[in-house]
Amino acid sequence: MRKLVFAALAGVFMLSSGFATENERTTTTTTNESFDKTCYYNVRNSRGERVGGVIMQGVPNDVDCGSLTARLRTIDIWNGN
Amino acid sequence: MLNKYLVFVIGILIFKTSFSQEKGVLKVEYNELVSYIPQIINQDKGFLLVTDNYSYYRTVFDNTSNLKELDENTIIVAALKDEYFSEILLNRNQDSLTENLFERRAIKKFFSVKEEIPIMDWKLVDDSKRIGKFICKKAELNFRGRSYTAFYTEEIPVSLGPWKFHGLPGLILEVEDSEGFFKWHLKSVYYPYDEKIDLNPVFDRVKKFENISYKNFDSTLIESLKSKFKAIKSRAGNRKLSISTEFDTKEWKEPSNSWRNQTVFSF
Repeated sequence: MRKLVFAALAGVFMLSSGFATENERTTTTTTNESFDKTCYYNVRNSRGERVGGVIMQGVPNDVDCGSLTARLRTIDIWNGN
Repeated sequence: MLNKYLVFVIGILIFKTSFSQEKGVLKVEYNELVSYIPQIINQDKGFLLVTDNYSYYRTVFDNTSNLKELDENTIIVAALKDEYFSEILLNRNQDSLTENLFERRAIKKFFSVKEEIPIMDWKLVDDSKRIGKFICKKAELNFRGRSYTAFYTEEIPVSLGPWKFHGLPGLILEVEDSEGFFKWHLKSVYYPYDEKIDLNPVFDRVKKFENISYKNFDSTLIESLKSKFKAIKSRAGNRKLSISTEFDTKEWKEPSNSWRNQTVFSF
């Protein structure tokens, strides 16, 4: 019986501390990043002709729309990857 | 017996060849400069061949690779050389214009697109300039969503020009659109031109490609593009980001027409 009570207490402690960590992490993420940036990309072919446009809304504010990573992500979207 | 048969076959071949070739009237070469953005200028070539009944215009596309870094909001994807094909045949007796083309934007297929020779409502302007040895007069045109300025010469009384242009009282030697995307400049002209012109390969392609009216082609292409851009958007739908896609016809040679004013499509 005592073992069962200790086990239950330990479980509650672990769960509560786990929740706290998760809450802290989530709170930290929300505080440091906001997702209200829009990146707009013109897609042209090698003759310079515009073939379309891709607009991404909700991009993290600290992302540079012109960075290679962001542009490669857009090419992925364009190619359906 | 064998000799008679051989003579007969050769006779038929000579007759067929001479019958299918038309006597030339005019041959013109144009430099076609196409530039949608200042960093890329495509130097295409255009060839106009005119017979008593037909006029034939073919564009030979510049295949220089222009994959270069542009501004940070522009992404460049390859344009395949083989995807560019356009030849235009005007049959003046039947009042028909046929463009054999490869549809590269969405459908990826050869078509033979037919329409009546479109009316081009030119406005003659009191201005002139010399192009080579020819005195040229100025004219202006609004056609299918684009404004053009042309110079034509009455010294060559053939009311034709590059691409689909026609209807002026002389040969068009130079045309430019107001946005500077498309320019046709005379390179050389042979008039009169007495060589035989063989249009059979063109007629063969008309038979081989899918025949479609210009109106049906336009609506089929727009619907195919809509499907393509909706698919791009939906494939990206499982991301955290909100993705929108769009295409427009603003840089097309014919951005709009009498049944379609919409030039921007967003999804």
